[in-house]
Amino acid sequence: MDLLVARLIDGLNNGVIYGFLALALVCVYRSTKHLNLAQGEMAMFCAFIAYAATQAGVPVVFAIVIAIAAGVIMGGVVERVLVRPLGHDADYSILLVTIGLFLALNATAGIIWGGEPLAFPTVFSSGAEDYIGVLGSRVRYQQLLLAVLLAAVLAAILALFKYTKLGLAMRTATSNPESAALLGIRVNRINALGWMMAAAVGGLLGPLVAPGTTLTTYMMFTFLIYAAAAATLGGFDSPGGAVLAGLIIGVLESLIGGYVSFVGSDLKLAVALVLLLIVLMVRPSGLFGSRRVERV
Amino acid sequence: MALPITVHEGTMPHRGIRLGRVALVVAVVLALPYVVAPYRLDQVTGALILAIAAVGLNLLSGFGGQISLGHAAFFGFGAYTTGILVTDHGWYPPVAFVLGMLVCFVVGVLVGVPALRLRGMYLALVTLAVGVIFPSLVRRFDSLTGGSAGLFGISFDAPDHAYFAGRAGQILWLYYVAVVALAVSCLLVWNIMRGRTGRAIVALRDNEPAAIVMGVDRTVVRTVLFGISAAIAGLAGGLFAVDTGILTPDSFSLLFTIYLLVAMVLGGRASFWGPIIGGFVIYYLPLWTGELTDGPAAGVLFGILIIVMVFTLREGVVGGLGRLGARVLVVEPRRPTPRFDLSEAPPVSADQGIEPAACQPRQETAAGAPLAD
Amino acid sequence: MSLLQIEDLHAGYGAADIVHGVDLTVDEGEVVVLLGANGAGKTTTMRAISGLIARHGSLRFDGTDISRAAPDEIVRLGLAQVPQGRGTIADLTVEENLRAGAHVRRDKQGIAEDITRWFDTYPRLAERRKQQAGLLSGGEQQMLAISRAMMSRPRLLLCDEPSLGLSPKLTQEMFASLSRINHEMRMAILLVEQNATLALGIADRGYLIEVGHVGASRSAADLAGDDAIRAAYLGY
Repeated sequence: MDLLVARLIDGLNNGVIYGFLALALVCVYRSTKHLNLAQGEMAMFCAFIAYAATQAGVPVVFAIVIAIAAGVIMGGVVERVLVRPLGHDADYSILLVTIGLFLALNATAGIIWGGEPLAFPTVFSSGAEDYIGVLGSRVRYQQLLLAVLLAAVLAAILALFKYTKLGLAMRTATSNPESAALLGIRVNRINALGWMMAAAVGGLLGPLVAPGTTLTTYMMFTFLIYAAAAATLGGFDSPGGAVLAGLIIGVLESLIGGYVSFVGSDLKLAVALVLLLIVLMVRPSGLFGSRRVERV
Repeated sequence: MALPITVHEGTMPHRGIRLGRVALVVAVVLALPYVVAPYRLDQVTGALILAIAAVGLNLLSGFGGQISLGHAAFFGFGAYTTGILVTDHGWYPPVAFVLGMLVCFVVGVLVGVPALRLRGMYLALVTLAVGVIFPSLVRRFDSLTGGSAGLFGISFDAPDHAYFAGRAGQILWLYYVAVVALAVSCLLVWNIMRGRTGRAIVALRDNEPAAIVMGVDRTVVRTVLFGISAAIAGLAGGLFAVDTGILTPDSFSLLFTIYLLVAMVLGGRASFWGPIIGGFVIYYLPLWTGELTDGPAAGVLFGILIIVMVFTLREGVVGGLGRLGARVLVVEPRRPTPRFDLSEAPPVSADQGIEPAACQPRQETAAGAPLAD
Repeated sequence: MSLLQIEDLHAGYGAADIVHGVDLTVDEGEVVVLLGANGAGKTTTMRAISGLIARHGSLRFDGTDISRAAPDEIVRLGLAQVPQGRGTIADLTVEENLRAGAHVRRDKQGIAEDITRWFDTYPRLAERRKQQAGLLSGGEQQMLAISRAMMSRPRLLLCDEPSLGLSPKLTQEMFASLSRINHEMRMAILLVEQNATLALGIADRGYLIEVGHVGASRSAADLAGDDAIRAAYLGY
C-alpha cells in the first residue's frame, strides 16, 4: 500500500511538470496554431537566467520573477522576429525555425554555463524534514508548491479565455483571423501575447523544476515529449485538458512502470505514448479537444 | 544572346538539354571517385544515405502532405533488421536490405492506420511517439539488438576483385552501392508520382474531400504511401548499418528525425532533387560548423544557420536554384491542341443550341509531352 | 464632403493588380451598390477599403486618410464590413460572436443594450444564443454577420455579396433588413452584389465594375432601367 501511494505521488509530481509544460504548448497553439518545439529549451534557458541571478545574490523568489520576465521578453522577440515574418501559415518553416531555436538555445546555454549539472536552490527549505506526510508517503514542499502554482496558473488562463475581453479576442483571432481583423482586433498583438504567455509559463516552470532534477541543458527535452503527449491527449485547444492529461500520464507511467515488470524503465515513455495512441483512435481530437464542426 | 533563353517543350533543344543534364549527373557520379580522396568519398556515401532517407520522407510529407516526426524509427528498423540478419545470421546484405524494406513497409502501413483518423497536430504527435519509442524498444530487447552497448561488425564486403582492393576499394564499393540504391529510390518515387497514383496522392494532399468524391481510395493511398516511404527509409537504414558497421540506439533519436525534416524542407519539398540536396546539406552542415568552432558553439551555429536558411530559401535550395535558373533558361510548355476547331462554328444565339455538326474535330496530334520533368 | 471618398484605387494580390484606378463615393445615409460579374474586382475593392490587402490611391473616410491604415484603425473610425461568406467565428457561440463585434467599444451598458436589440431584431438568433456559431444555417449566419458588424456602431457598413448561398426568400428578407437598418439608423451602406434586382431595389446609386475598372455613378433607377445591364446581370 505504501508503495502504491509512493508511486502515485511520484507520478503526480511528474504529472504536474508535464501538465505545466503542456499548458505552455497549448497557449502557443491556441493563439497561433503552432507547435513550439523550443518551448522546453526556452524554459530551461529561463531557469539558467534565474540561476545566474541567485549566484549574484538575488533571493530565489525574485530570481524566479526575473526568469518569468525573461520568458516574456524571449517569447515576444521570437514571435516578432522569427515567426511573424514567415506568415502564420507557413507550418513547416515555423517548425524548422523552432527546431533551429531549440538547437541554438541548448548549445548557447551550454556555452554560457558549461555542461556540468548545477544546483539550483529551492523556494522552500528542502532538508530531510521538510515534507508533509500523505498516506504514509512524503510530499516535499517544493513539489507541493509546483502543484499549487500549476492549479493557479491554469485557473488564471481559463478565466482569461472565458471571461475577459482579451480572452475573447484571442479565441476570435484563432478561430478566424480575417474576421478578427475586420472586428478591430489586432491579430499580430494577439499572436505575440500567446507566445509571451507560453514563455512566461515556461519561465515559471524552469526554476521550480530545476532543484528536483538538477539544472542541466538536457533536462527539458524528455519533459517536452511528455508535455507534447499530454497536450495531444488532452486536446490541443484545451488548457484544462492538457493539465489533466499531464497528471494522468504521470500517474499511469509511474504505476505501470512500477508494477508491470515487462516495461521496466526503458519503456516508461513508450507507455505514455501507447496510451496516447489508444485514446486518439477513439477520440481523434484528444479527451477534451473540441471537434471543429462547420457547416460547409 | 539575350537571357533568358526560351526553349519550347518537346523540341530538339529541349530534349538535348534534358539529356545533357542526365549525362552530367552520370558523369559526375562516375568521375567522383577519381577526383576526390577516399575519406571524402566516404563522406559522400554518408550523405547519399541521408539523401535516400530524405527521399523517403519527402514522398510522404512533401508529395503526400502527411507530417512524420518519427521517420528515424523506420530508418532504425531497416538498420537493425539488416544488422541482425547480417551479423547474427550471416545473410547476404542485399537480401537483408530487401527484408529490412519489407519489415519497414509493414510497420509503415501500421503507422499509417492511425493517420487515417487523425489530423494535423495529433497525427504529428503520434508519429513523434513512434520515433521516440524506437530507441527504447531497442534498449529493452537488448538480447536481440545489443541494446545500449550496440550491435557490431556489420559489413558488406566488396567482391574479390582488384578494382575493389583494400580500404579504398571497400569505400568505393559502398559508394557505388549507395548510388545505385539512391537511383532506385528516386526512380521508384518518380514512377509513383508521374502516373495516376501520383495525381491521386497530390489530389488527396491538396483537397481531400474533393479527391475522395472523385474516387481516390483514401485508405489505400494513405497507408501504402506511409509503407513505401518507410521502406525507402529502411533501405537507407540498411545501408547505414553496413556503412558504419556499428549500431547504437542513440543514433536513431528524435534528433535524427529532425535532421531528416530539415533536410527535406531546406532541400525543397515535393521536388525530386530537393531531398538529395537536403541530404548533402544536412550531412555537411554539422561537419562544417564543427570544423569552424568547437563543441557547443557548433550547435549554436548550426541552429542559427537553419533559421537563416529558412528565411532566405523559402522554397528550399531547389526553389532558389530554380529561380536562378529561370534567369538563364525558360522552358515554354507546349500548348495543348484543341480537339475541336471552333473558328468555323456559327455564333450561338439565345434561342438556338450549338449544332454539333458544325464543329470539326481536329486531327489528333502525337501524344502529349510527359508530365514530370 | 462624402463619407467615403475613393480616388484612383489600385489593389491586388501579389504581383498583379486586380483593381485599376477605381473612383467611388458614398455619402451619409445612402445605399450605394457596386455591381459586377465574378472576377470583376468587387471583393478586392472591399478588402482594400477595409485594409486587408495592399492598396494605393486616395482613400478617405470622413475626411481621414485611410490608405495606409491598419484594419483595426479603420474599424475604430467607424467602417465595418460584413465579409463575403459571412466570416462567422465558428468556435464561438452566437452571443460571443456579437460580443466580439463590439471589440472596439468600451461602454458595457451600451454593448449589452445593443446585444438585446439585435436579438430582438432577429429572434432566430436569440433562440440560438448559446450555440456554436459554426452550426447555424446560412441564413442565420448572415443575420449574425450583419448584427456582428453593427455591434461596433459603424457609420458605414460594407456588405460583400450578402445574398451568396441564400435562398430567394431569405435573400429578400435580408435585403429588407438592410433597408430597415439604412432607414432607421441613417446607416450608409456600400453593397457589393451579383444579384442586381434586389440590390438596386434598396439602393440610391450604383456603380458598375468590369475587369477592375469602374464606370460613372448612376442612380439606381437608371441602372435598373438600362437594357444592357439587364441583359448582362439580370438575365433578360
